[in-house]
Amino acid sequence: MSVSNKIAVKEGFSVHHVVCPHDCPDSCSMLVTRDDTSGKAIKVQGDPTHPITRGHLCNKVNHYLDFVYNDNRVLYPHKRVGPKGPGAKFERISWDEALNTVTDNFKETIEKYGSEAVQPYSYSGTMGMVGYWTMDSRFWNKMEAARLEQSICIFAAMWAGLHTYGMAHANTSIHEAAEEADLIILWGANLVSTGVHAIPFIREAQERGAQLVVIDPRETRTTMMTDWHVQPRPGTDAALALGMMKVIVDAGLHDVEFLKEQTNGWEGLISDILPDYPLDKVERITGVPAAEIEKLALAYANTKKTVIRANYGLNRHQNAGQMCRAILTLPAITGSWRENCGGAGFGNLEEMWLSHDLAALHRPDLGDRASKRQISMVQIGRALDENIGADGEQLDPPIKSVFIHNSDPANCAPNSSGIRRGLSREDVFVGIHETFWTDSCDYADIVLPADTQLERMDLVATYGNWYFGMNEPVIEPLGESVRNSELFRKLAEKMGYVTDDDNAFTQTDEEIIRDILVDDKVNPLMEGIKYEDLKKNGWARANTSTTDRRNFLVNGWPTPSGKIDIYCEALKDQGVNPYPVYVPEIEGQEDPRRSVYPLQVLSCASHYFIGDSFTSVPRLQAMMSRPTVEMSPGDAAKRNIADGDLCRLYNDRGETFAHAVIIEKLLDGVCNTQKQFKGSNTYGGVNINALNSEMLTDFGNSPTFYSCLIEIEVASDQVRKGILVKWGGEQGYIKKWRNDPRNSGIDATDEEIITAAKEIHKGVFS
Amino acid sequence: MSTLLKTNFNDPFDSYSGLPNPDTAIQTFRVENYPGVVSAINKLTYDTVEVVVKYEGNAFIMAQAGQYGTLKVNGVDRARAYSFAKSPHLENKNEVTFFIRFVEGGEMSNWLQQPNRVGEKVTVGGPMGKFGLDNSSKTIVCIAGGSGMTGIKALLEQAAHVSLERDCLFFYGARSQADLYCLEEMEAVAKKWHPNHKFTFIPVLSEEPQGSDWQGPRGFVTQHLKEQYLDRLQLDVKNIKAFFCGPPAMIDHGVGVLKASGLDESDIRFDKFEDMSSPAPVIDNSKCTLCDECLMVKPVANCIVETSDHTHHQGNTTTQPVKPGVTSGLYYNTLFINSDKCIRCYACVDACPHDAISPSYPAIPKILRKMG
Repeated sequence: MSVSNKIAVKEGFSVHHVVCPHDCPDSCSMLVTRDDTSGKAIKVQGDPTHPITRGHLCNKVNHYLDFVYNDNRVLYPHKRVGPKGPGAKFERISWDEALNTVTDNFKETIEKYGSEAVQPYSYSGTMGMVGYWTMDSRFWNKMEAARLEQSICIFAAMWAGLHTYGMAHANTSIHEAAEEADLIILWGANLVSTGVHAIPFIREAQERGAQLVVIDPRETRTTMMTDWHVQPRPGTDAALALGMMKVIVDAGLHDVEFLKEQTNGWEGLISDILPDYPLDKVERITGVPAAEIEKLALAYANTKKTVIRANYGLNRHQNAGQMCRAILTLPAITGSWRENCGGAGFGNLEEMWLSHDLAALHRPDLGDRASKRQISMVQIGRALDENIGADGEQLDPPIKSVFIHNSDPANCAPNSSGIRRGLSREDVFVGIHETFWTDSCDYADIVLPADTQLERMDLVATYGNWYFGMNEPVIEPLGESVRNSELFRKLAEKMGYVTDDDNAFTQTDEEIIRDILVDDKVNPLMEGIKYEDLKKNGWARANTSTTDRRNFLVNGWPTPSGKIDIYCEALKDQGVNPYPVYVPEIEGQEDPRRSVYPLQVLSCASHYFIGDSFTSVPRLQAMMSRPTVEMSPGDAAKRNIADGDLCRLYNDRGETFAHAVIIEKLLDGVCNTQKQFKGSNTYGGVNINALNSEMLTDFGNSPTFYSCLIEIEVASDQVRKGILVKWGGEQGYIKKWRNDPRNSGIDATDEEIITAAKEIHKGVFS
Repeated sequence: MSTLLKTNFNDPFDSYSGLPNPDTAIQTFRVENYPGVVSAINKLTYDTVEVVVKYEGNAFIMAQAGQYGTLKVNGVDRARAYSFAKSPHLENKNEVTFFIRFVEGGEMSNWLQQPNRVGEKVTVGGPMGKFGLDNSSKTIVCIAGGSGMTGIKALLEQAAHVSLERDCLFFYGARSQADLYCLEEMEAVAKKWHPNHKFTFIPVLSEEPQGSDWQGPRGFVTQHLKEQYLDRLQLDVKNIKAFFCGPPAMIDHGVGVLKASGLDESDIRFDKFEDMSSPAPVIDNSKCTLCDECLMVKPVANCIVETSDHTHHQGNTTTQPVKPGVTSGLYYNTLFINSDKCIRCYACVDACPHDAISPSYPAIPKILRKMG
């Protein structure tokens, strides 16, 4: 087992390289100390030699041992006994029985309904290349199972980038760019909570005189870092970006040379599109004062070294594709791309992930899966609950077997009530491979124990900077947990997929990393990186050398036109305006339905969880404290809501409950809550994802989590009555009371509890 | 009113049930506290003693040379922070050594001067701080005064132990010959120093009586460094790294001298010995990212608290703690340093990657939530 010499430890202890596997652009390099006598990991810290990690971690991963050694972990295979749904009961079984149950179901389903009736479902529970998409892809390809479009996070932003620049990014991440840039724009990017390792770089830039602008409809700890907070109404950022372009062009500050040499369609943008975005109109749409838009545009155009770091919240609006494209077009107008730090981006996921030899990794040759039907993971609810497929047609055959790993769809996907109903179907077999007892597990037939990053080997390619990280196992897997590559090897064996002449299911994790990922002949980013060095150091910077393949300014951009596509033919073919334009979003600020549901609810990443990955960590749940809904003082006053009040958030699709937090600078008509909150930890059993729809973005098929109109009311007796019904009446109340750790040790009969409750809530229990 | 309500009743409508409480036993603090006993107190000079603490169990303090720890004794209100006085490789198993200088009227000084302190039960904690040598090959210039000997001595012992290939000058400021100690240890360092490189120990005395047998330099140590080495170009500021340890006034003067001679701030590292007369650091909530790095090095409970509410009135801040499930979360308020509990170890200042903690920040924190 490799031992790091980066920090000194006494005899009997050893230090190991671990890379944070969570869905975050930082992918920190960690040093984990193990007590070699007990075999336990005892200390976690940031690698001080890693140029981005710089020796510190975030609030989540600082408590990583609480994640690994956690009472809520699934440690053994289990089968459900009794009905599906909240409170489902499980019984421990052997691995052999569990694997047989799952594979017998696969075989039976395939025989009766065909392989398309088996629906895999997975996402970013781990971001390691092996854990995210290797053995599982091979397994499903061999089975020819239904396909899953993994579009739940980034697809609108990704396609906006691909349609504009192709698979191309700046040579610097926001961290490195901040060392050079004189104007840094964080656009919809709350990096204090969602990529904290950029913050010291940005603070240092501010200290040397660089200007930081944060564009965000919310007030966050990131907007608190600067005096220049631009607050557009949500979903109107395309208008803001286009308004800025018009100011720049009108002032003659656009880089005509750059536009001529490097872009396609710029004349049309200037002549046909920008005239639609005069300042007064843009002010009306965005709510940002005309003078401020002008000031921002001129500062952007007059500063040579600029960088725009956008973030994925933007791509959760119905009009997201065009919004992202408009923002990404800005640096082409000013020629910001000429600078090493310049340009705009959401990160560099496409290059860091898609440059690998994916055919060797996924083995599409194992079966004819490409012809099988595909379901968007955004629309798994209607697929399960109503048998509706991607094209809106009835699914034939319907989904009969779902296998979930690296994901908790009961909380993390839109229309979560539909998902829960669908998973509850008695004719749908649900298998889940999980580290924790998530809410989805309540609907599983079989739950298989998954490991954590401390128990496996993997290679992590970041999506927010240019580093690869090598993760090595520090401890033995806890209980009977297995990493998911191993799980799919076992499943393949049971399915009879293993053959002597093909190593698809016998290749080890180490072989996959060494032979496919690191020793990759097609991935220019891996050029010069040696497996042994990566193992020894724990990390390596991707080869972004601009001398050859990645010099876009000289060699052209990887797009159909070979230039930056301001005009995009492919989008025109999809029925989308080929130029970036502002289109009001459905269920957004300009939707007439705001007369009924006046508040647009955002559900931005919280400070404490990533997806719902960290909801099992006691410290983080405790500091999150309770589900909250951020409201403006005006919106709260209109509804007689005071800070801390329990509120009901509702629309036609559902309801959820949260405590009001009144934020002085939040815009009227906008509120924010947490889509990561574990539903079973809320009053009504479901989080905000029970209120949003499965509508997709204008292009890219992303979810529209933030295109969601609701109303909020303070919890009256009537509202509490509704909650009481969800709890199962008086008996439910008593159960909740007894489950509350703060009430433990208090001796009370059921009758006494109800008598007391009736005294506090006369109108609820009558 | 029902009897249950009068005693204790946590209404499920006010919070949600089943919220896990953080189990402090598995929190991954980087600073740990261990019970121990004073195993030796040795006189170094008339006013400075060496205190050796043997601590219990399988515990270990992973100190790198230059780091510091805390010592808490019965009868003294707060723990105190002291540099580890030995390189880790020279410490006996389960032992740590501090050098403590008596201060007039100091609680710890009084405690140590009582008879029979050897064998007393104490608590030691650590490691703290990031003070240590850099990875360059530049000449090491150390400047220490008084008990600042400790941190530098540990650094040099470790450097000699690993045969570091760098030149080194150690300027040590003391009042008189009676204040000098660790001379044998410095000789040992010189003897073990890499044979191709120079190690020079330069004690400078500020109050040595005129006409004594002292042959060495006199005056203030930082002034000596300036006049004899920097002004005369005996040291090339382009090729040195400076390391200070000791009283804040000496360090401030020395840093000024070096910067005036053209040394870049990034080439200077220091460990200031603050005490209870120093101000408690303050968290600037608009820089703080709530990353918890400071909490990982908390020397004592409740010096940094997670608040759900705070009020500021005439210079006094009253805080309410986060009650999981019942109050606002920490995100909507601030981490807050309670100056009554703070032991002035400044470990949080050192640990903060965001420069959010400093004694010079404004006392009233900005917060996101609209107050009252």
